[in-house]
Order: sequence, then structure tokens, then C-alpha cells
Amino acid sequence: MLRQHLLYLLLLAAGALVACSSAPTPPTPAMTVATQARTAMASANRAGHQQRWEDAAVQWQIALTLFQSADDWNGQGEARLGLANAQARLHQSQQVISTLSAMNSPLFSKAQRAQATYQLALLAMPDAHAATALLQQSQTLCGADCAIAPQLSNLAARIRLQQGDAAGALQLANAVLAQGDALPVAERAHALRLIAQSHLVQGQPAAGWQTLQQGLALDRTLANPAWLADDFALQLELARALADQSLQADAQARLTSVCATTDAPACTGVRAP
Amino acid sequence: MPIKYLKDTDARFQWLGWRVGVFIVAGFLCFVALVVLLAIRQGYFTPKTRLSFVAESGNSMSTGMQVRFSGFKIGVVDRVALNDQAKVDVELLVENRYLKWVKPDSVALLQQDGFLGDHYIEIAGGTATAAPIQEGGKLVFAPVMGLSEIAADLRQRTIPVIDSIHDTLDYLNDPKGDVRGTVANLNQFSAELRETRKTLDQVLQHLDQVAAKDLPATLDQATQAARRADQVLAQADRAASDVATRLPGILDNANRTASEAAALATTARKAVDGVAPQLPSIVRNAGDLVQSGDDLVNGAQRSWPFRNWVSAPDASAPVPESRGE
Repeated sequence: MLRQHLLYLLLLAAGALVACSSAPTPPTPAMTVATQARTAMASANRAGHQQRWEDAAVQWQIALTLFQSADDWNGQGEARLGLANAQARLHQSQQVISTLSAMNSPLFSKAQRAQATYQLALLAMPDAHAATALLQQSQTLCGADCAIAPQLSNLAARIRLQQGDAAGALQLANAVLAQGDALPVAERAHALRLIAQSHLVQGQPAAGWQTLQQGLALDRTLANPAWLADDFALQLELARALADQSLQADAQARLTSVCATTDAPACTGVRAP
Repeated sequence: MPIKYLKDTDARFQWLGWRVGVFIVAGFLCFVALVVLLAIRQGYFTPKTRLSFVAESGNSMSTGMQVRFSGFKIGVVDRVALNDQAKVDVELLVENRYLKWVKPDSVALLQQDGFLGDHYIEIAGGTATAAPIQEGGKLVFAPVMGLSEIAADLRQRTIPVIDSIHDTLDYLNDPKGDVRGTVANLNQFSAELRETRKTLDQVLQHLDQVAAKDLPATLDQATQAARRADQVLAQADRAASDVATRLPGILDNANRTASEAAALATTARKAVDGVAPQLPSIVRNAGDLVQSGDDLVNGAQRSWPFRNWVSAPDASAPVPESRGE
């Protein structure tokens, strides 16, 4: 009896599986194009994570062309932003400007236009005047519920610090840190570094040292040699301000070591042993 | 007479033995019918004609592989065996109904389905008006070179030519060799000739100015100069004849090298021409293959239970960090 019931159950299960299985709906040409474009974007992101920026640029360009062919402006916006990012990593400034300038159109979403202007502001650095103007445009476009608010605030703090306004930079960076756990690690580390540098400018190297150690701990998890070099260069300045020979030697050794792997601006004049 | 102690009153057990027998016989008949049907589908009962050809290599050939004509299966390879001449005897069984298209001068080609598919024998060509091939007929096998064979063939033809060019250039460039030595000698003789001519010019210019007492010495000087000129000319003549003697050999060598280079270029051109039409389709096939694999993986990633194990690919633009690089 039990065996019969089990048999019925098995048959029912098999029937249910067969009934549920069906061939997928044939994709429309638009769906095919969208799938190809999304695949190209995913490939571009993978290439970017592996620092293969030439490959990333090619894939973003493919995605952009596909989205243009399908009149998909949201996709075009994402592709342009990704392409500009890859071009910026390849130091192709003119191409970045060309790629992002095309986004000055209401056909793109405000959030995308805000990010495009932010990327142009980053590109304008260290020209603080031009970067400030672009940053203000970006903040206006982004509005209150801005997804890139931490990036904008950090960039504003960076500009303030460059202009010698340490107090203003400190205020902005502290506001970024106050945003809590949702903050990207890179932005948190950057904010901490900005605070440490502000403390140094304000003549508080001990406070700066403490804050920088927190930023360094985060930067070590990100393993970006350019940022680590930037941190160690600041650490060296703080050690000099503290007149601590031991800390100075430590910072110098770390800076020299990391500069053997990168040609970041912080490594200018640092010679590898 | 046996006594029947028990009596089956249940109707379900009546004629049970007969019913089981009928069931088994019916099952057996179905099985036999199925086997016969499959055999018919496989062409076991179709009359066939045995043909054969000889191939240089048995690579990618095996018993049971299809024989096709214009893309349709017309038979199978029945036997592949190595003969006494270290060549490969291949025997085919071709269905008689298709034999009318196979002519004695038809050619057998080893082909492949797509880029990664099975190999098969394609029978092609033949005089349309000729009578069909007979039982035991022999076809001509034309091997189709693959990319690796083309590359190996090209390499085999190219290396001797390159070696020959290399030897010739070494011979021409050898500082101690005949050619460079002869040219150096000619340069030297040319310089000496210029000196001699200068001396003669000086003598002739001052001939009218010399006094009678200087005439014998001047003539003597002129005679010596003329003798030196004779010697130089004789040496130049020897060198020129030496060059003239060796020149045909050098020219012949250079000519042979040029011919080999031209033959190499022709071979390379033929090879490239042979491969070139296939390249776009090969690339397209590879692209299609990758795309199909991608679709398959994407489909699997969207299906249960894989979708729980794989995170969705990030298809949005990254926000650059405010720190820059």
C-alpha cells in the first residue's frame, strides 16, 4: 500500500516537473541587443577590477554602440560614464571630455549628468577654480537624495585643503564620516586622510597621526599602492612635525617600499633601494 | 487421475498461464519488430556496392564514418586498414540507389562537419555522362589539408629557401670571400691608376719645358710610369677576369635564390588563398561558439539552483573615487 502511494507521489512529482518546464520565450531583437550590451558592461567591469583599462574601454565602447543602436539613453549614460572612467585611467583627458560632454542633454538622467560633471571635476584637479565650478554644477544636478554625495563632499574637502582652508576641509570630511556604515570604504579612508592632513595644517600632528592610522588600516584592505603611497607620504610629514626619528624612519621605509610598485604623484623624488 | 483438492473460483486467475504466455510472446514480437525497424533505418537491408580508395594517412578515418554525396549520407566506411606499402586501404559501402551519381573518376575527400564536428568522406566530381562505378571500383582520394598541414607544408617548403638565401648572403657579405675581396682589389687598382695618370699628366705637361739634358731622364720616368700602368692594367685585367669567371656562378646562385623566393611567394600565396576564404567563417564560428557558451552559462546562472550560488554581474558604471590616482 505504502509502495503504491510512493509510486503515485513520484509520478505526480515527475508530472509537475514536466508541466513546470517550458522552453524560454524567444528573445526579441531589442532584448538580444540589451543582453549583449549588459554582457559587455559586465566584461568591462571585470576588466576594470583587474586594472585592464584598455580592455575595459573597448567593452564600454561596445556597450555604448549597442545602446545607441537601440535608442536606450539610460544604458548610453552608464556606458559613457564607464568609458570615461576607463579613459581617465588611461590618461586620455581629451577623450574623457569628449565622452562626458555629450551627456549635457536632458535625455540623460540627472543622476547620470551629476556623475558626469563630478568625473569632469576630478579630471580638472588640481585646477581648484575649474573643479569648484564643475563640483557645484554636479551638486545642483544631484539634488538632495544624491547617491554620490560622499564623493562630492570629499572632493570639496580636497579642494578646500588645496586652497588652504583646513577648517572647511575638516568640517566637510567629518560630515562624510558621519554618514555611517553605508559609506564606501574608499571614501571613508579618503575622509580620514583629509582629516589627518587638516590636523597637520592646523598644527596638530599628534591628532593627525591618530586619524591617519585609521585611514591606513582601511587603505591596506583596498591595497591600492597609489593611495598607500599617499598615506605614507603624509605619515612622513606628520613624523617630521612630531620630530620623531623612529616614526620618520618607519614612514620613509614604507613609502620607499610601496613606491617601488607605483609611480603615483606621492612617489615623486622617492628612490627605490 | 490426480485429485483436485483446491478450486480457483476467482475469475482473475482463470487462464493465467495462457495470459502470461501471450504477454511474453507479444513483448518478444514487439522487440523483434523494433530491432528490424532499427536495422531498416540503419540500412542493413539496403543493397550496397563496395568501393575503395587508398589514402596516405588514416588520420581521422574510422570504420562506420559516413560517406556523403552533396551532403547526403549515401553509405559508410566499412574497413580501414594499413597495407604493405604503409598506405591506408579504405573500403566504402555505398547504397546502390545512389550509385548512379558516383563515377569512376569521382574523387573522395575527407571533410569535417563545422569546426569541431565529425569527419566524413565526401564523394564529389566525376564526368556526368560517364557510366556509374562498378562493384569494387577504386576512387581517387584527394586529401584536404587542414590548417596544421598547410602550416607544416609551408614550413617544409620555406626553410630550405631561407637557408639558401642565408648562405648566399653570407657568401656575398664575407669580408674574406671572393666578391668582397675582388671589389676591394678593384678599388685599390683604381686608386693606383689614378696616381699613374696624374704622374703621366705631369710628365706630359712638363715635356715641352724640359731641357735636352733632362729629356732622357724624363723619358725614363715616362717609361717607368708606362710600365707601372701596364702592370696595374694587367692586374686589373686579372681581377676583372677573375670576377668575370666567378660572376656567372654568383649570378646563377642569385638567380636560383630569386626563383626559389618567387616559388616561395607563389606557394605562400596559394596557401593563404586556400585558407583565406575559411578564415572569416572560422572566426565567425568561434564567435558563435563563444556566444553560445555565454548564453548557456547565462541561462544556467538564471536557473535554480545556480542563481542562488552566483551573484549577478555588475552592469552599471563605477563611480570613481574622489581621491583620484
